[in-house]
Amino acid sequence: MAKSPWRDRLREELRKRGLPQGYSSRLVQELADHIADIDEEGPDMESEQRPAEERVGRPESLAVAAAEEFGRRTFAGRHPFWTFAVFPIPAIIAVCAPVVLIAWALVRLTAPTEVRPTAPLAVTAMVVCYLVYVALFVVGWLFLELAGRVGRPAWELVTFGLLALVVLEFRPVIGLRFDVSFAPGGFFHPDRIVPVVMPLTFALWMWWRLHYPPLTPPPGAPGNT
Amino acid sequence: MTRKSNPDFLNGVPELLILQLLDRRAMHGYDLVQAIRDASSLKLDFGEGCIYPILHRLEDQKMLASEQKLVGGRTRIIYRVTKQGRKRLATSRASWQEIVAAVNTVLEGGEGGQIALA
Repeated sequence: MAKSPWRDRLREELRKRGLPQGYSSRLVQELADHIADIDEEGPDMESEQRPAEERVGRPESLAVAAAEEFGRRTFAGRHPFWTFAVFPIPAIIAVCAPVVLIAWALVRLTAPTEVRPTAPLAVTAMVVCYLVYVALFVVGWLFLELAGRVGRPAWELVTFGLLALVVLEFRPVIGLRFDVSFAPGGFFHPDRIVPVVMPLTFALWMWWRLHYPPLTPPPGAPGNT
Repeated sequence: MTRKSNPDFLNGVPELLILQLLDRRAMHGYDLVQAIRDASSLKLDFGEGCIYPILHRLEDQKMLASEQKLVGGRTRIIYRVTKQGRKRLATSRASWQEIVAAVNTVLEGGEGGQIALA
């Protein structure tokens, strides 16, 4: 079939932009019907006998238009700045607050009267530190998923940049008695490099994957001769 | 500071044409493209496929409804305007007429738009 390469390229372009499978399938089907209609219509003086694919549009520009229109369906798509640059802040607070509360409760349980540091206290302190990073990662992941669903994958970088700033500015500090506190400051301190670089690297990797996915033929692609 | 500007409206021109033509009669995508070409005497040239993402978005926003029908031996998705779509059409038409009137005022040398001759 002459249309297959065009259709496959369109599928690939839609996939690159993170559009849902169901949406892409329907679009590809309707466009394939449209091309069939143009072919049935036959040569037309008015259309200057342009090939059907040319009349329908290049796969790249169609995918751009589809991602744009798909994004306009949702609040997140229409207002990416609010969604990916502002809303993560309350989300971080909402997710981290229970973690801090749990940590506080754990510390109270494991060190009721002790003055000297104990092993359970040391473990608790470590757990608290890592739980906060896990909570931040969960926030990042949720917004990453959202960015993909609303066809705004590039905005995930903003959210992860914000998370990196939070990690940079508020660092968990383990005291001499394994008491954990979250201290502001610490910009450019060497021990901040790894926690800051990690979310940014992850975001860049995901962004790269969405924009430059491995080139594999789509499953069940028809008639690729 | 965050005034709603014209690009938002100008992006809505294809939407206005789609709602207007589908308000006259229900059509599938190919029919609709032909209707736009005919109604504009071939003056509007665009990638025909770009119509579908707009149709899907309007359907998602409940301004259009669709149903599958067998037409010419093939299953087609026929689109029609809903009540909500008609409301949107009315506001879009009013906005369009305002913009056209404003642009004409400027082009005809109205207030604030007079051409200065050196």
